[in-house]
Amino acid sequence: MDHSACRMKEVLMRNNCKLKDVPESATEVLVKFNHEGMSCLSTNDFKEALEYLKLAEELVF
Amino acid sequence: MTALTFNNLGCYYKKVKKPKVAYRYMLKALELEEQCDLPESHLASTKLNICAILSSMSKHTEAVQYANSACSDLIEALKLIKIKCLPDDKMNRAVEHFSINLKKLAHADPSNRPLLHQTLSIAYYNLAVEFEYIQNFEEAMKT
Repeated sequence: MDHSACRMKEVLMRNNCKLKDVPESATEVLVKFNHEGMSCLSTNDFKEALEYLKLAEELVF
Repeated sequence: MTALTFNNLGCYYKKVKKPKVAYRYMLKALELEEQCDLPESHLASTKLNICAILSSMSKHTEAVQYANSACSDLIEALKLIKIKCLPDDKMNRAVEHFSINLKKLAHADPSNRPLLHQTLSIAYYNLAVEFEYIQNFEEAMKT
């Protein structure tokens, strides 16, 4: 598992998410962060949304 | 993927009522989408987001420009689909005649046509609303 995936795992653990589908590649992690971020935004969970989207932003640089 | 991330961050900041930050992210997303030669439909969606953000900042003249540009992009995307559905010989002639970007033609997906029409309706509606804000009722009616 690469560094990005490890960070993804950390975030998912903090949120008590299931870990069996943790992606292995950075692109998959990015997709997952974006997806989770927008899901949180749609439920007005702004804090979590920003956390996921900021992690995605970190990954693209 | 970078453009998508910026676009999503733009949506976030728009929703938490920080339009200036949202605007910056959306501009970054649009710049990347243009650099990557992404399909017109992608550009149009981002431009409509920018239009909504500018409108919330009461910058209606600029919002008109983005809504107008989104309409043009969507019409272009529909034109590409129309060309793609032509028989091969006619398609080749159309590609040559209109100097069509082959990469964009490859992205044109006829199954997206209903969605593009829907987005175009929204874009025209937004354009008309922005024209109303700047008291240009004649253009609003035409749109």
